[in-house]
Amino acid sequence: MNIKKYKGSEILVKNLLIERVEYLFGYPGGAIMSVSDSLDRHAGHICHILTRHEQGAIHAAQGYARVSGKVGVCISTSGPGATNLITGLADALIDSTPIICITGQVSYNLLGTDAFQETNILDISFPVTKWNVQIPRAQDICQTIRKSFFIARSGRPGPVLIDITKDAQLQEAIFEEILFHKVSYFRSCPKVEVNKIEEAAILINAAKRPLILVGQGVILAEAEEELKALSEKANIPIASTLLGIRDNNHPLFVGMIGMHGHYAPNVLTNQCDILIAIGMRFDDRVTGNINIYAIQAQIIHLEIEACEIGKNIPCDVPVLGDCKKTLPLLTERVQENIRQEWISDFITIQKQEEKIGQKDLYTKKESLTMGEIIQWINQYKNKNAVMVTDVGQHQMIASRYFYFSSSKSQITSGGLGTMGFSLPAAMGAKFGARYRQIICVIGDGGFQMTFQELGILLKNNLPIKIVLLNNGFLGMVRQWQELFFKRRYAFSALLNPDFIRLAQAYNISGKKIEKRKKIPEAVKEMFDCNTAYLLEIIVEREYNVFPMITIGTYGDEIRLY
Amino acid sequence: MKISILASNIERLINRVIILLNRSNFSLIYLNISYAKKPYIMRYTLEVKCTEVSIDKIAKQIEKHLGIISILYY
Repeated sequence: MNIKKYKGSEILVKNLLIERVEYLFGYPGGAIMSVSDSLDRHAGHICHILTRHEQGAIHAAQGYARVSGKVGVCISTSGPGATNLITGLADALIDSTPIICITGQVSYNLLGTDAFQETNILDISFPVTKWNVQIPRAQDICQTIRKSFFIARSGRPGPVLIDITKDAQLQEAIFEEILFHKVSYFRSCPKVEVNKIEEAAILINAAKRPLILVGQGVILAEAEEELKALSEKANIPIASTLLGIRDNNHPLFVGMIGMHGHYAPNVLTNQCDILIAIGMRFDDRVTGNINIYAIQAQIIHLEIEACEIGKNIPCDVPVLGDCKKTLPLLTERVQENIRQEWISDFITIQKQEEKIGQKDLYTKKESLTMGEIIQWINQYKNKNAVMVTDVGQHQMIASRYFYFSSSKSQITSGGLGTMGFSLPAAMGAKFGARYRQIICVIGDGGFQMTFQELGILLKNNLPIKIVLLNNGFLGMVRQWQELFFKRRYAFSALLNPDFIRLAQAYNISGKKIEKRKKIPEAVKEMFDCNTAYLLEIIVEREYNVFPMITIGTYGDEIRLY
Repeated sequence: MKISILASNIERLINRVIILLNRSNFSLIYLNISYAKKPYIMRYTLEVKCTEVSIDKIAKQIEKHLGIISILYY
């Protein structure tokens, strides 16, 4: 009997189809041509989105993965194509996004000869991937692809890079379906220890002032309901990190913690007696000075990855495991409690921040503030809209004032802080959530890093709403220069092009707003438009984001002005 | 500190271990790689300059990688 053999690239695409990959972001090139050709043959089942730069491809895959919860796939050629992915890989690793990157490589016999477009991408990408592998033979493709998908999405998700040599793409081999439930010598998800959960429950039951800090782990585990059940049963307020789950409709969500977070949760972190950290890693932007961060509190840490426990902050009760499993077990053991006084403390202390809110949202100055624009977006946006933000002042303002009402509604580069992330990520997010409104809030600096990706809009006709907050500066850099470098604005001022004409060149309608009274009408017009739209708003040039925990401080040292 | 790692015979796994040590600026004094009982299991024996607290954190990071069976340090 003759067993049918397929080309390596064909086997690769067949495996992607088995993994139910619908969209794939990429850029063709010499070493990946065979795969591009096979993808084109399967164009009815798998859609290849051509980006304008490989960095755009990986950020789009990240946006897609974050909004849909599936694995994002991107593809690029060898050499420069592969090295252009590095920023996105680092971003995906630190923000735990499941990504598969497929890169081409020169033929096996040319490896190590400085051939045209050859780079040693495996060694370059070691520190920024969860796993990476080279496929030198076609018969290894099936197993490696399935294994990579398993690794990317298991445990704490992360990026996996697959490097396929040119001859492996062209060789013929047998296609077989392999199922992976376990990879040997790989700890994907630790076992739940019930005695640790009991220990944690005893601490929580005895606590008078407990506080939950929640990170992206809860979103990745899809454990929002389990979290709310715990919080509601024991009446524990929930503060979230930048990437964490937020629900403005829920009374127990008290806001965002961190450098530019809300005042009350930041102050009360240093007054609580039990800190329950769920799916977060105590980043330095959250903790400030670790020597004075929550030293009075006992810390319970629910985490999937053992190496995160005690990494930055010493932990009293570590609860390892997927929080989808550990949270219900904890809720069972926790007693009902009222804790009215503790919850009302948050409302009282938050009032001290009102002055900032007044200044941000109802300013009497002539120039516009970023806060009031976010407020108008809240007015007209759809209920389940997704906000994609770039990095900088607008990111902090948008995270503080945006009205969140559904899960997976914020996409931003948290850990790595990649400028230029939001525009391609918004495009990817639109493919991941076709029926949700995507609002891309971006600064003038970040926009100019990846605006070539407007080309994706041109081809695919995606109705993305881009809100460009233009202050003519790299805002956050300028704020730091003002506060810590005696107002020496070194290289932070930007001479910007005409963004509206730029958008027109890509066939995107747009409007520039400079006057306050024109904002409501313009925002409404943007949301009414059923195609892509660029709304450029000229905001105050020298505006500072407060409250702010400066480096090396925490607790009562939060700067309010 | 001496570190002894039992790992499966995967290509370039030692690179991942070295990169993690380098990231925290631990200087490597010696490194030995050998087979351990079976051809598909390797033993890495390393000595690095570092404190016990810092090696504990790095050991956990090394342990999570695919292919690492166990890690001991003393």
